[in-house]
Amino acid sequence: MPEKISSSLEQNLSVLEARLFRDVNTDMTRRDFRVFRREAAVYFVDGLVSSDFLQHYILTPCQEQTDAPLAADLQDALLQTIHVGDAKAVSTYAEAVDAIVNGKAVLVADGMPAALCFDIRYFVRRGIAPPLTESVVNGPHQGFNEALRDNITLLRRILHTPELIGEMRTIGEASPTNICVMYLKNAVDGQTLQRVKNRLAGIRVDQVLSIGALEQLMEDKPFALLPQCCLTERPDRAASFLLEGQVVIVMDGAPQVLAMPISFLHLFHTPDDTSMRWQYGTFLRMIRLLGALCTLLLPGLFVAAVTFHPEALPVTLLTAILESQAQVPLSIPAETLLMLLMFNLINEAGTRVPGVVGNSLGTVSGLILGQAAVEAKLIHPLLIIVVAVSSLGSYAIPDYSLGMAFRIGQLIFLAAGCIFGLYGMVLLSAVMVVRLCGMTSLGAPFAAPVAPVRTHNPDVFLRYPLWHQRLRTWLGNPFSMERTRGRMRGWDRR
Amino acid sequence: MKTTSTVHSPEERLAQRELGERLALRSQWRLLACVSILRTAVTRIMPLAGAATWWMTLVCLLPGLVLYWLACLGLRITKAASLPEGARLALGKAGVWLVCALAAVALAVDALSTITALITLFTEGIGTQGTQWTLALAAAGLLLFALNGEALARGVYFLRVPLLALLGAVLLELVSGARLDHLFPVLGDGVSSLWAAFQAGAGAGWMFLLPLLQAPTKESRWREPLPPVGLCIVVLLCLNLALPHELLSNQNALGDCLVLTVAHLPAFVRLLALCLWIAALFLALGSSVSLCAGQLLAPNGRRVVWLPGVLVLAAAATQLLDIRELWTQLGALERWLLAVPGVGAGVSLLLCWRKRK
Repeated sequence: MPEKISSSLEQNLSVLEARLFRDVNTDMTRRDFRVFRREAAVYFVDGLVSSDFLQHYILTPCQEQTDAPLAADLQDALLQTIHVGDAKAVSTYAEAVDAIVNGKAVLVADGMPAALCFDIRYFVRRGIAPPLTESVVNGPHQGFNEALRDNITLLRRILHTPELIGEMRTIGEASPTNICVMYLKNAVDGQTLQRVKNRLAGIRVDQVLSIGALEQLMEDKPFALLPQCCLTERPDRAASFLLEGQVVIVMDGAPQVLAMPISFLHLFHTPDDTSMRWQYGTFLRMIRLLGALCTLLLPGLFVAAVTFHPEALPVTLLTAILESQAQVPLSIPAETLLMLLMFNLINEAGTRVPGVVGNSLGTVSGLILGQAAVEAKLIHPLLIIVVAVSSLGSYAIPDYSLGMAFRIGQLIFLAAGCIFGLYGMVLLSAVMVVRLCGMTSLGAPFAAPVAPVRTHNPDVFLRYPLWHQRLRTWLGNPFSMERTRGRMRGWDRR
Repeated sequence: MKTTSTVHSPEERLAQRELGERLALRSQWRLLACVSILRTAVTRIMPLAGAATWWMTLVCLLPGLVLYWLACLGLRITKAASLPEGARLALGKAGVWLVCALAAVALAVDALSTITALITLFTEGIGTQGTQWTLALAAAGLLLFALNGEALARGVYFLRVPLLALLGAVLLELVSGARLDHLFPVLGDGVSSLWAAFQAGAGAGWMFLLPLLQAPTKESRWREPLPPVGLCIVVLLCLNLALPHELLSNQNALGDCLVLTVAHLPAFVRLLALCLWIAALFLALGSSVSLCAGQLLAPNGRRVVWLPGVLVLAAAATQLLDIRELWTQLGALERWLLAVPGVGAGVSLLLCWRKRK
């Protein structure tokens, strides 16, 4: 089958008909018409193009041209006739087919050895809505949707600079998905950008359906429990990543964008931290870290303390635990495991059940099951408090993937506490910290700027005042780390 | 109100990235030095010196410190950047092999002592169920999971703050129960026991030579060993202030010696102190093994990822031996850890200096 588009319309039509499987593909539409006294046809996918635009800017102007063209070249004459901003001539059938399936209108005419692609895409899309999983108290309430163009627009509306670069490319071999690699030219580290491009170029799959799948194909250590990229559905957060010198990947069909590289402590930050005054931001961040520690360690610590180190507990508390334990048929490790599994079950069921019902389901099942279990003497009341606090802690972790990792880690620490007591937990903690410090995100050390130390924006554990945040994070280009020179509060001369 | 902050040049920032890695390595060495010194002090010196442990340990460290400063001076005179380079100048490629092999042997002995102390702390000290061998296998398994390139040094750097906070809490408790009377008798059980303690602990200072295996940083090398020495002496002084001489000098078993340091603390603090001991010994074991593997591979510059794992398993396998006999043999070896590299370094530097002349 020929590759180059010929000047014979008949041949072009037969090739395109075959490549688009038009005999069975009923939404691949062809409209024949005459222009400049020649036969022509336009191909498009029904539903992906605007029929108004097609009619008013392509078909009507063409059909009005009943005389021979004034311009010597038919292609030039057509481009002067059709009033569509994004128009491009392609010379191969593959490019033409690619344009059609991507929602463009493709025009072929007799005597023209090329096809003209017009971007008149218009399809049903979800409007800009508040983010579902990243709510904030202070800050904008708009999230990404599934349209690539809308998401890029949302970012460009925040960052009005030509240095915001968006490189379009496709991923997936059988059914390519459009993605856009975005970065701030002056802020990004060249090595990081090259790594992103290399990894994207090295992905060999037929299709990438979700941004989560893309994340898994790109991350450094796929067997590690912790996420090494950050997914966000907030344009303001994505813009802050870009300003820090990170790379953001926007994908068609995904209501989140992927930011990389990241550091472990980035995952505890929220947009609220910056928009609130620094004292409040710092306080909330400390609460979040405390919540994360409670999630990870509290059930294991409870079991270790009661089972292996009762001497470390106050006598009254120990007596109360042992008294209630005498009435319960299960051992404390088994009870704790049961409770944690129950919590995860309620959580999963609440997530799958839609909207308000899901919220009610979580509350009702938590209350009723907990109360019933205590009354039935299946578990003792203190354990309910322990599991509830650790569960609340997991909800305080802003990143969903990190929350999941901590919930799995909680079970590992519980096992260590059950088998070796506090000593086992201490050893496991040391090992986990060492593993964490050995991880990388896109080649950058995951625990930096803490270990190893790097020059950085002081916004790490504490949310420093904005006027102290004169540097970008260490992940960016080391040669343009200053956000500003001189005083940020220029009016303040104290 | 200060509204400006320090802005570094790009070159400085790149230099700081390298500094970050060096700081991690330095904290790993400091942890290794502290644990090694404290382990030697508690298990070898304390049973012999009793109330005199804190200053006797300092005396035992003096040969190491003197050798370190002499080596620094030698390197400065010969303009060699590190001990291996000095040895290369003096003895050629064989010199590098010799220095690295000596360092690897010393680190291997230290790793064996540390794993024996760690597992005995569990079996005889805390009274954990399980044999020496099974617990050693469990520790080795965890260590195999943790040993991952530069991860250990970075992890130690990350953990230094919680470890120091725990140590602070334990020291606070020790100081709150301190009595000046416990520092007496200043000479312990007499000169003969002090001499025996000196012989047992004189090799502890070999650790100070480790930083000289690497090229120097811009910072001065002279003060490098002082922080771990200072910290260890403070800890030992607090222990001596809190515990009477009779209690300290009557311990012989390894597990008892290790547990004695925390036995008199309130239950909760004792638990924290044991956790601190265990974590520090575990991290020191990992550090010894990874540095030992590094020294074995340093002369030819290759990286063999499985070598630390093999060393960990070999160290765990020694726990199949009779522990008392093993501990005695290790004690005999530790006495010579400073002398052998000391003589080697001295001869190398002398030859190097003569060659330069």
